[in-house]
Amino acid sequence: MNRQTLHGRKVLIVEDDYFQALETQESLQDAGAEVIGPTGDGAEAERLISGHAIDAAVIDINLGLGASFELAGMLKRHGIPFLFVTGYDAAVIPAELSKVDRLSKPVCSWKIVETVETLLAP
Amino acid sequence: MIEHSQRAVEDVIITDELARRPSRAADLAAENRALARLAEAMIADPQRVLDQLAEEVMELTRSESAGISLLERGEGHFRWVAATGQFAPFRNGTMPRDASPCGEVVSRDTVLLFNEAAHIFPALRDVQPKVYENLLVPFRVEGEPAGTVWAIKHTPEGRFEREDARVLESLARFAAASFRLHSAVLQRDRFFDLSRDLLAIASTEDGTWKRVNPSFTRILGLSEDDLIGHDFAEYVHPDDQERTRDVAARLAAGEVVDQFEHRVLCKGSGYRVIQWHAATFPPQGEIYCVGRDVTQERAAQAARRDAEARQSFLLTLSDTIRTLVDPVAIFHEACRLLLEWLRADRASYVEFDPAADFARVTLQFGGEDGGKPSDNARSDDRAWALSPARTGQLLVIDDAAASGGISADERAALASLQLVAFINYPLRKDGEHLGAFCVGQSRPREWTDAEVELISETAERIWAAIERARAEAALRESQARLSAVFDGLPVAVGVSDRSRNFVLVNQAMTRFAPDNTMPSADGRRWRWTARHRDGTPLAADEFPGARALRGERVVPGIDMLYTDDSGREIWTSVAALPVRGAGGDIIGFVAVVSDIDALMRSLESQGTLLAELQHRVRNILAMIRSVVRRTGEGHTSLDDYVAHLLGRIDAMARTQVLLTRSAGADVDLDGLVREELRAQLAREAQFEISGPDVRLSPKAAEVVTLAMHELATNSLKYGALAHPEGRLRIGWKLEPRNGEEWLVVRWKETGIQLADGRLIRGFGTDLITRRVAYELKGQGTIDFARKSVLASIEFPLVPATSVLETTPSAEGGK
Repeated sequence: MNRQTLHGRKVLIVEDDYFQALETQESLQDAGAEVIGPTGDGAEAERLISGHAIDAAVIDINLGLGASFELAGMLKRHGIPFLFVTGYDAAVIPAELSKVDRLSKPVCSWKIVETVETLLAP
Repeated sequence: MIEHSQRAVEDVIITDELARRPSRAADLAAENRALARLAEAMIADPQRVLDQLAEEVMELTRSESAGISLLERGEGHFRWVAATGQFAPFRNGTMPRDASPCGEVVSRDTVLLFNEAAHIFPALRDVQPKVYENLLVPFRVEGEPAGTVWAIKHTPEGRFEREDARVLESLARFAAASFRLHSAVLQRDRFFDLSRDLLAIASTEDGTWKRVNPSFTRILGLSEDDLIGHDFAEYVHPDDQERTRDVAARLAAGEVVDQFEHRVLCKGSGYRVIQWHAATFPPQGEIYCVGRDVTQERAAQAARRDAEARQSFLLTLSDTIRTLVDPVAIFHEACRLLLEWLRADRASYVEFDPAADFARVTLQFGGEDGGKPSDNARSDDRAWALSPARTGQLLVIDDAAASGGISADERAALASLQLVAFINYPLRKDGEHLGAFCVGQSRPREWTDAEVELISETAERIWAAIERARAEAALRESQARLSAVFDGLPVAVGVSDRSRNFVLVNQAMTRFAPDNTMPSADGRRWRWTARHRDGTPLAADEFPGARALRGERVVPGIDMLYTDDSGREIWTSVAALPVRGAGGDIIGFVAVVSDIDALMRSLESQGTLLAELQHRVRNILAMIRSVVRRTGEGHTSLDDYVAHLLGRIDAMARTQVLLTRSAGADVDLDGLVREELRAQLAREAQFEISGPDVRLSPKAAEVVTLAMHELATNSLKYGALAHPEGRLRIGWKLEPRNGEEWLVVRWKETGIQLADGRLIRGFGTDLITRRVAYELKGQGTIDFARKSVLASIEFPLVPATSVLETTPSAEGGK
């Protein structure tokens, strides 16, 4: 994972599990990305989106207060590509977000890196 | 020619002479005597009255012959119905009308006197003795001349006088009256003889018959000799004698008796019922009786009455046994009624098994057993049921001792049962002989056809009723079983009409249809909801009942939520099937509601558990990765590394044990802390734990457990627990901060020497200082002083619910 494929890219991690967040962070950092966050707090995540020129985001749908798609809506409005890391199946995902890439937990961190690379590919 | 003849007739008519001749005076006394004799003859023998008249005429007119000639109806001649004197031999002879003086008298309707009429009437010429003067008067019947009364002188010197003509006319008038009376008597006698009714005259004086008509012979076989002079009650039935004499007394008192009936012995064929109409006519003192044979009429009436009574009995019987359900009760009631009606004393119902030669008296009423059904009996024990049971023939026995159709053995058995008269009516069904219905008594009797008929009809009815009762009992049993099954079904079943009102529900359905309608809408709430796959609610016309009413089979049903009285929602599966009437049209539906709440909750819970498990496995793996990586930091030996690693993994394992006791279960903080210290083999005397009752969400519990582990491990190695004088105090409290409730946990170690300055760091520090902040949105600090270790973990007890956690994450203590 030292290919630095994500060099200079700002990737936001929204994940409420500390160790999962830590691992994702390390994986993305290994790939050369600049990690924004991680955070497990929705409001904090919104602040981070507004405050940084984020290139991509990795989002856990559940941030501790139930399924929330507000963040996804916001990223879409900002034109920021993102992917879901989730334990939910497709049924709970609203139709307008059904085309968003989704990785089901448990997930290997390299898979996340790979998907972020795809999102950012020209 | 005619004129010449007439002239010639006038030549011999000398009636005018009577006026010229001297005449004797009238002998009225003699005339009266003659009339009296005639009257007597009239009464004594009306047949003889005309002959008597002729005698009197000859006597009073002093003539030699006298007689009466009557025109025979439709004939051209006279018949001499009476003749006496010299012409007596000519009685009953005839004479042509034209050839006799009689014709002239009838034609002229007047008295004529002829002299030697033979000159004109040749028929008289050869008659001897010779006729000289001949006096004739018309014999009038109902005012018309129908003949003559005549007197003859057979000597030339014999002369009739005016007195003779007068007497002759007088007697002729009397004779005409007598003749009419005679005819009337003849007519009366003909009626008397002809009548089909009994006509009779009896005497009030001695009560004997005076006169009877031939009907007595025809109807009663009794001749005049049997009756005339005999008491009129002689042949009357003994039971009717008294009434008959009463009626006779009433008649004698002048009463008219109408429609009096009694039985009269008919020679050779029992009694006949005679209805009388009678009256007494004083002063003769005779009873005139008209009787009619009403035997057949009465028999028919009696038969009708019997039939009606029988019909009434059978109706009563049917009404009585229809209401009964117990076969034994049916039999006993029916037998009670029948025996009462027949005045017989016992009845039984025998079932016969031809293969085993067994006749079983299954039901008995009356008799020496007092109505107790008998046990199985070898047929010879019940001989009276034997013959018909064997042959299937109707057996009617008036007197067993005298009947030829009974064997000696049977006779003995019957005698022992004191059964003398009985009827055994065989019971057959579909040609198969099944047994017999037996009615009997201990005294001989003459069974009538009507009684046999009644017994047979009763037997059939009893049998039918018993069969019905048995079938109904079986049906009831079957229905009771079905009903029990229906009510005991674990699913709710109901049959609804088209208006969605239930007409039949089982016990389970009452819970889902408190107002007995489907779907229940009892006004308080709409109890049923269901959703399509896309989450939109089902409209009422998409409910199973509505669909079934449209002919659809909604099977196996759709999932629906039912809200019960307490507001709890219950998962159900509702199926419905249309119910069609005879014409194929839909008359309602059957609804089946299954309570699948437990199943759905269990499925939900399973899903939750699975997700929770995934979640934890993911966390554990992530943690282990982190632990493995971070444990490596700062350890000098592999053994030390392994020991640390195992300790952390064990701590995580303990958390998992606590958390997996049930899905989403929260964890008691006190227990969590004690467990952790116990695992570290800390001595009880060295630590002190205090704090209110607090329950932690799974995530908080996990974090706190690991934090406790790290702190305890450190303490055991370097801190308070490593020194005998060291003390550890763990306390916690709840406090409000910014509208939230925070848990503040303090860890305080005292009495320690941190000689080499080895401190908890790396994974443990990270856990306390960063993970608490990150995951619990609180803060964690750890402070190592020279003689103490102070750590604090603070975080809000907000319900931070994961979709994977089905219960609130934490609750405040008491």
